[in-house]
Amino acid sequence: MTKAQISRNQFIIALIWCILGTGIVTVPAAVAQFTVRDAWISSLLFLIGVCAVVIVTWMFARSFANRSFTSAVVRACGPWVGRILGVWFLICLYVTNCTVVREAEIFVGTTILPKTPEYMVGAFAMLAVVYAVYMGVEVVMRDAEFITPLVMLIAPILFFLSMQHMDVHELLPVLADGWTPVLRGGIVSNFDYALELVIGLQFIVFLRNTRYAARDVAVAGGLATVILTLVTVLTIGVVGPSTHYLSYPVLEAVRNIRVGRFLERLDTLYVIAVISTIFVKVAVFHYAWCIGMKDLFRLSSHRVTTLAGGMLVWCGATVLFSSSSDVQYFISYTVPVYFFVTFLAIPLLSIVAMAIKSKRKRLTTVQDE
Amino acid sequence: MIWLSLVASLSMVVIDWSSLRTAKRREVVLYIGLIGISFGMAVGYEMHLFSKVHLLAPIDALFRPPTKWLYHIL
Repeated sequence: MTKAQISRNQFIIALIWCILGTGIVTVPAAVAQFTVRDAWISSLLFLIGVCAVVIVTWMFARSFANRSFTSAVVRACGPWVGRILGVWFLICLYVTNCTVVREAEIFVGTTILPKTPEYMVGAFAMLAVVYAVYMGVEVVMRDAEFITPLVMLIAPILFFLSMQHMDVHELLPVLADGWTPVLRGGIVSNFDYALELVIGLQFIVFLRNTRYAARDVAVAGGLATVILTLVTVLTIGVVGPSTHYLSYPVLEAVRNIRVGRFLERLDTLYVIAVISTIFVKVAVFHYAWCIGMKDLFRLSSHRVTTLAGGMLVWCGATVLFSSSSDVQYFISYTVPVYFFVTFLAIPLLSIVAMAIKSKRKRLTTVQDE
Repeated sequence: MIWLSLVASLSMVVIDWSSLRTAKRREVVLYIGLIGISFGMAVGYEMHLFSKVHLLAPIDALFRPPTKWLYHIL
């Protein structure tokens, strides 16, 4: 059986949707908790997190060619410590996936299905996700590719139609409250969303050429930064100071669109686009979790845990977070350092451990000669 | 949620039946373990157990103070 491979384009697209899937819904709202007028600068600071992930990916691809992160951490840190670190990483992926599914449930419940129990929404979403994951990485990546032209068609239309209600004065004066609120908002965008790009390390093993992995992460991160900043500028410009009080400010910006007296409620298109991208994000994270389980527990296939793991995510989403405020509080006040430790410190630790191991091996070889 | 998770569990076992028969014991144990945890979560949720028990409490206890400190020093 030939090994499944993904193209660079698929890799980049999947990473972009991994960030924008939830980022486009929650970043403006999360950043607006700290600053409204300067929220766009906080979104721009997303680039710092992207740079950190690019460096980690570059070092990882040099140290562990053709290995997923969970396989690499076991190789670098040994079977015991490596497995403990791998399980820690998988728990983080699981919690992230539960958070995303819960966000999706609440979003769909609030916007289009208010009378449907949220766990039913989650069940149907996970049904689609586990099917895609069960079929393999190529199906997940093709799904990401397939929705891209649809979203690229919808997003610019909504963007330009929203601009007619935009007031640039809502963004002025710049830095009136100093850098403190901007940097606090930047913590959410950097640590919570930019560090999610580390998920790419689990997919390096499927790339035809790992040499360009860091460059691909940089491209995905750069595009995500531009899009997030534009969306934040537009949202603040249209919604204004009310952004601070709204759960879905981007949705409100889109709801304002009216063309003549007959074309309105285009937010349905926005909801369709968001649900599609969230589907890709959950599928990518669930696939990464499944291949992580395969690496750590030496399973014969990722399919062993796909269905059972999907059910675990579905139940976990409802059980771990009782309400949207729970999710929001977790994202703002726990996730930043949690992701910093899991998505930056642990990969760096395994890279350093591998470097020490290789050096020791080289010294032993030289001494033997 | 209990009924839905029960139906989902049974459907999964039916779908994976042929691969479970040839799977290693370790894989079967893991499979049953994951389904068991999920079903336990669903039962606990219906019994309102998780209004008293917060499963993310260890993660919150570990990472919330340093995150708040990070916000504080900025």
